[in-house]
Amino acid sequence: MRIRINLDVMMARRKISLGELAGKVGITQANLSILKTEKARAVRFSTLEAICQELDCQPGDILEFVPNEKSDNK
Amino acid sequence: MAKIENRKIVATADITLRIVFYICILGATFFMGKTLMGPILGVSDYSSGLSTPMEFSVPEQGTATFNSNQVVPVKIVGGRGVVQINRPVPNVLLIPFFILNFIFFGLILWIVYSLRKIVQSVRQKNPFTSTNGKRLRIIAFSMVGIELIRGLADLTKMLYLEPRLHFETILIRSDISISLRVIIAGLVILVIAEAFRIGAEITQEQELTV
Repeated sequence: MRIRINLDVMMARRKISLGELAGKVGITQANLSILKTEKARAVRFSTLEAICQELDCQPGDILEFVPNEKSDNK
Repeated sequence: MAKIENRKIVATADITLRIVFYICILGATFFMGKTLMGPILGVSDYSSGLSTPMEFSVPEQGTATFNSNQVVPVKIVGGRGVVQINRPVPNVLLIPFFILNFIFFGLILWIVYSLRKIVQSVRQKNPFTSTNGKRLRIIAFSMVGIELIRGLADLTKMLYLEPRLHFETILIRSDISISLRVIIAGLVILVIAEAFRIGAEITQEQELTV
């Protein structure tokens, strides 16, 4: 995995549940769960914008690039 | 309007394929049962006989009348009929035909069953799955397989049966006839199967986009 999703960290910081965030962002809980569990293949800008809006954060707070050797050591 | 019509066509195809599938099962059961059980139970003479289509040439000449006065000579170049060999048919002929028929019926049943499943998935508005891609691939290979089996049956007839048939007025002349149309249709279905595989990938990608 080269792009790590730190959505759970941000959600914990903001003390917001998955269902609550899904409702506020306007996507299903199942889809948000796909993103949170790093199964998603792509994220729409509109979804990213809505999540950043609700969590009051930057895209970089949610998405993190992990270089290959680091992920290999994991 | 066109959408409703298409839905009706798919529904009709679903029902038709269901009927064809059951007819195929009944036909296969009847044929296999007759062939297997006939000789054991001694039900009928025909059960252990062998019927097979063969081509022949016949020295028959006649005329054709055009425009009420133009008479043109005509001759029959070839014909196609069913040769029925009554019992006892030698096993060397009966067993290969039975095995080929068994595979033939099996492939046809499999094709009809797979088509039904594909049509059902279309009705459920979810046709682009990797399973459907695999089904189409199997259908394509089965079609080619059926043609090869027909070719094998023709070869058996040509090598074994033809030299042993003797008639007074007609001359049996069998050859291997593999339909190029079926082979091409099989290739086209292979291409469609590949399109379905790509479609399945795109669908999955779409599903995993949030």
